[in-house]
Amino acid sequence: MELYEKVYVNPSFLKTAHGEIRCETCHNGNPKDPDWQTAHTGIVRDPTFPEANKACGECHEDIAATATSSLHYTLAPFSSIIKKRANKKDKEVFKKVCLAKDKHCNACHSSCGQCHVSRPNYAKGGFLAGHLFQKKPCMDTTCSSCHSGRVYGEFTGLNDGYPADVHYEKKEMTCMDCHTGEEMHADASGLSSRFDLPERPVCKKCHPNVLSEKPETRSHSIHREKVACQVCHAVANKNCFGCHVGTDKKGLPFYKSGETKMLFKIGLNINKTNERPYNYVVLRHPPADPGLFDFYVKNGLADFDKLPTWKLDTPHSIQRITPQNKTCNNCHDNASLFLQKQDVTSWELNANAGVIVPDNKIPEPVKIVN
Amino acid sequence: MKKFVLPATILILIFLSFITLNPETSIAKGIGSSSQCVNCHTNVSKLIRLSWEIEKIKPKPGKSAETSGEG
Repeated sequence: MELYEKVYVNPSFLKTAHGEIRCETCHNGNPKDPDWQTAHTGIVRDPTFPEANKACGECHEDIAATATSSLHYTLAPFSSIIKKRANKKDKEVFKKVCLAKDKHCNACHSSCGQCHVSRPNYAKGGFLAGHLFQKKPCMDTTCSSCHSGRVYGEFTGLNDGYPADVHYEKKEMTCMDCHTGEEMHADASGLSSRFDLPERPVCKKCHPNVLSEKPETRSHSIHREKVACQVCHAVANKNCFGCHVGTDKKGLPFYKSGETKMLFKIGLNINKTNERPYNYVVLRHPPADPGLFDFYVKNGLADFDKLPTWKLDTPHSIQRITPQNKTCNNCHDNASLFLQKQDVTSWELNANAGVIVPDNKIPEPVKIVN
Repeated sequence: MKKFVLPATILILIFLSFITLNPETSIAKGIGSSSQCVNCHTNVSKLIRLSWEIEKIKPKPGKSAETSGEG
């Protein structure tokens, strides 16, 4: 987007409820000053971050109250994961890890304005529609700005050789059809995983029969509560390996990530809950690496093994029929689908001990009786 | 009854004029106000000229050339 496009205000915005509010009420600056440079002194580009109450709270009190502690505002699990892995014994090292985290990882947050008015800062901003507020932002400009690396591509079929998610392909559903405003604005304080958010999407909301006491299909009654829905109904997801961050000679932050692979790996569920009682779940390898912050501090992630590098995932590549569910024995006794020791690098073995599927836990072949 | 109609009408007209013309009231706060923000930000040709000026003063920060791989 050109700079002028990013800041062009559609005159029709001025006829809306938000357009009746004076510009400087939210953005500061001096609206009477004809010199654009001095007029912009003290300007606030995004008046909704880090505080949303002043700009939004007067009219949207309930939403603003929790939005600032939502996943998109705080990225709370990022902090929790990095803190768990960080070297906490050496305070100086820990401080450097926190600074590096703030510089690189926290740049990825969003805010009320960065979803409903403009593209996120991470995507270099720019109004979505001439400052007109979008109650439901368009997923192709808003969600994809940050989630295009993995989820958006899976959902819309951008990975060569892999179909788009059936919800997108057949039902033309968008991100917001499952990820509602209630979830987006929910308080996520203290969460160590986004999968623990009570407001997250659940398949049974639209498919209640599948998890009922008497499901219509036999395979659902056999596997109910034993395997996560995605184990049977997702295809490959994108896995990233190795990420290192640093600052170049110009002072610009950079990252270097390693290879990416489309894989499908089933692992053991190490965080069983009432909502997620499954023995088996789908895993994804995020770009986690013990040397992530080496540029800033050596041995910063001394407790790297405290969490697995193959993490619970809900791929957005759902299909009714998948290679593993075509027949019983496409999955049963098919060791290649399960995360095994040989799939994991030697330095990751300890971290993933809980999710690796040992030979005796690979489902036995099913004897087909004619 | 009729003797009250004229003063009441005058009072209503005075009130409406106050509401419409007072720059501090919400009706006047919208498009009608003489805001330089609105004048510039709704005018594409002005914005294009200004963006050329800005790019001369403050070049785009850009992305580090050392970045590699998928983010």
